[in-house]
Amino acid sequence: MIFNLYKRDVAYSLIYGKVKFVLFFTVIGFLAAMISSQLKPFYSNSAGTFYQLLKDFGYLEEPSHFQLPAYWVFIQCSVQFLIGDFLTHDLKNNGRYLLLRCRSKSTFILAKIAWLLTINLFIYGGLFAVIYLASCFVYGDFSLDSSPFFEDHVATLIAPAELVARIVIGYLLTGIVLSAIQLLLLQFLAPAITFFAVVLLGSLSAIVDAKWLPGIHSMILKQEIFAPEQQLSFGFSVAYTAVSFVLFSAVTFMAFRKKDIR
Amino acid sequence: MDTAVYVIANQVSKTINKQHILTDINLELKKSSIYGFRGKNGSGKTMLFRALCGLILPTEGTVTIGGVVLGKEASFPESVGVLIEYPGFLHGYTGFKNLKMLASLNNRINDDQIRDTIRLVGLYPDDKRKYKKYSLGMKQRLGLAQAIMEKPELIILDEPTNALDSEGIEKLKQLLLNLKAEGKCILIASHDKEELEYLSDEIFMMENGKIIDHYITGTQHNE
Repeated sequence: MIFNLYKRDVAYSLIYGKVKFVLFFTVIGFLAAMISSQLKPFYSNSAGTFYQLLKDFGYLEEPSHFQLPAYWVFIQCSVQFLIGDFLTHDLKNNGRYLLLRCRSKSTFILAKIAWLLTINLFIYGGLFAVIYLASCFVYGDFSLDSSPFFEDHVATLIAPAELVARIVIGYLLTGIVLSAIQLLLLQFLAPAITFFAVVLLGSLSAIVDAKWLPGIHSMILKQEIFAPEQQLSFGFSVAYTAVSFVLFSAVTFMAFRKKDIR
Repeated sequence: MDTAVYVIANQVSKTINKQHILTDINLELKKSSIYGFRGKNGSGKTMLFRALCGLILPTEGTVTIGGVVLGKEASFPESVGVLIEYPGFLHGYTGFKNLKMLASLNNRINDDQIRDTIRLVGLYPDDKRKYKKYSLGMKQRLGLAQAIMEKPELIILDEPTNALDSEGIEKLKQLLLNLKAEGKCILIASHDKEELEYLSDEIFMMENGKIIDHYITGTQHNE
């Protein structure tokens, strides 16, 4: 039964949200193409576009130097909206019909938790594919090797392909934690309040550098490879995400089992 | 005809945020019967229906369905079909595909049975129109189809005649009487006194979360 529910959640969410997904990926593709066009004269390739589009502005040393990582905020907010929109619609309109068929609140919510992981993988896999294809189309080059732009502007010793992987996985980690928090808050709060709380929590990392906030794990310039003195390692980000996801999911599981379905 | 008691609500009360939503509800509902619930908006009909199918747990009292106490021996009834507000059918799918998606959770019925149910509510199973093209009446019929397609023992319908035209209402009446003859226990909430009295064996009047009156209709046409 749990697999049937999970399959249904995945299929339903993709069909329900298809216009929004297409819109989101179109905007991302447009941004990737635009940035690639700007970087092309500097002999960049797709790795440069990934870096330029998905990077943040690093640790804030002077408040007056603050810059809003607009693309980063846009992507985090959009992904949480896509996820929250489906969760709200499905819990409100379909929850009772699904629960009375599966006859188990535990099965129902476990399927939703499994769906959260899947939809994050789908969205960030799609994000990677769209940026890669759009930028390759502009550059006419499908490699993720080093380029003159990368060597001149990206101050790191790791290979471009590995950097791209770290950036995209970092976004995935933040997405997983924020969406798990969103599912939890939806058990207690109105959808609009939940969404703004999650967006606020995610965006807080643009001004607060705490390792315990979910947003920082998708900020490549705050990672150890760019800021060794801050000691925010990729391993810590993965462990933080795993522990947070299990913790938030467990609380959601317990809360949902006791919750009235209205 | 099986007329065993199927639904028992024993002193059921529900309080939400210190407000008494349901107060001391006692019911004994039998199979092969139709029960009507009348009352103004906010009188507690829908909340009572939610309690009877396990969606909300009573603050006090117990609900027993088919001998199983909800919230203790099981979370939800073994066999229940409901229509409480429109289900979130996918706008880009046909009626058949929407029902198939729901039926795929349990795999209790096959495509032919889904098609038969669609015909029963007066729709065409091979209609290629998508749900977004359906009229309100067609949406209501599809909602009814999902409630009855898996042949549940307990059928709970909140305002089932909403948006139906006179032909649709007649079809629904006949359908419910047939389901009753098959031994189902059917609960209907409606504002329409005449329709309710025509169909129901017994009617419960609700106000402020309480059953304030009930009477046997004496309807004989459906015996």
